[in-house]
Amino acid sequence: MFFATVVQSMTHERSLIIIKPDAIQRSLVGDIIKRFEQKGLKIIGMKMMHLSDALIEEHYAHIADKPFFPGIKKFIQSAPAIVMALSGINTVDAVRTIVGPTKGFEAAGGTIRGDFSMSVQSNCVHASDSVENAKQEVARFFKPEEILDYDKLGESVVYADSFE
Amino acid sequence: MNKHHERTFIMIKSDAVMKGLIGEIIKRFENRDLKIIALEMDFPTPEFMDGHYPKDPVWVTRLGEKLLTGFKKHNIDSVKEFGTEDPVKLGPMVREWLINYFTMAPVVKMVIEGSHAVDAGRKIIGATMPNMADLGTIRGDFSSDSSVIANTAHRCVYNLVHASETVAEAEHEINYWFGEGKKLFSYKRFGLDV
Repeated sequence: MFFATVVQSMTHERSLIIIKPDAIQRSLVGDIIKRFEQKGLKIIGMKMMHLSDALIEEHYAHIADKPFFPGIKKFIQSAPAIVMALSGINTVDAVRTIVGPTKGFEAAGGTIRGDFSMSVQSNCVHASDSVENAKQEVARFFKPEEILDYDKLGESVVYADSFE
Repeated sequence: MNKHHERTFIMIKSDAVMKGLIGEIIKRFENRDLKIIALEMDFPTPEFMDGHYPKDPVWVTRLGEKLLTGFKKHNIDSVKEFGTEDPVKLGPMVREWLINYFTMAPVVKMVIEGSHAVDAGRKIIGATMPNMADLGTIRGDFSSDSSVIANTAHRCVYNLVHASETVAEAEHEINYWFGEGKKLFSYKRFGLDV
């Protein structure tokens, strides 16, 4: 009975990751991608892109009227970014754990920000903060045909009994 | 920018994507001071792959000859395996295997630039046959596949990654895989440009 409850709470989710310019300029791309792969998550879409004004204003709509927003925009356009869609069970929470809290200097060692960032703005990655936002963000950055379905090796072992 | 500044086409192949080696592979190019100036995950269609490989009968027959050379070395009877030892008949089958390889899962295609990028790319990936590739290369570190193992399993060798062999080949491959006139990114990298 307990086991059945646990299984029901596990859902297939997606999460949107942006590898930000600071991580790209510091050659951390491989290191960051590796951390998601070794966890067992599946990359179902990925591309290097320049983030346009419109895309940034939509993505950061919640802070678009803040005085620091122009600085963020300038930073995020200072080099290309790599956007990535991840798929798996309970992906949103798993990704946030790997990424660590927003402020790099406070993030625990072992997380991406804890290991690689000393900053709030240059904190290497963006990760979706909820299942609902993840859906919107994946659709914002990827066309439907850019999301690719395939079987990653070892998935049944990664998820054991919970994988259906 | 020096006169040996080059661009090369690198592809993380389907087996590496399925094995979760994308990050590890990218890291090795970054470590060697090479810069990623284009990157896309892509799921090639059989039609696209058919256009990628030459259809020239001489080239196709050579695929059959290579298979026979490997079989001879390991005393494997091609007639028993495939009902023929005619390279003209075996070639198209091997070509089909190559297409299957690239269509079983997505690939990650990249344009990498830097000093001696073409030669560096070849060095980083290692020898074509993973079982003969040096340790420290991508193929040597992450695969032990070989032609005899692959061909007796009726597939091509899975060797994780592709890198252009010459500057001219790189240019051709970048155009084929990213489309003519694709805008490549330009940015500064710490340790290299800043």
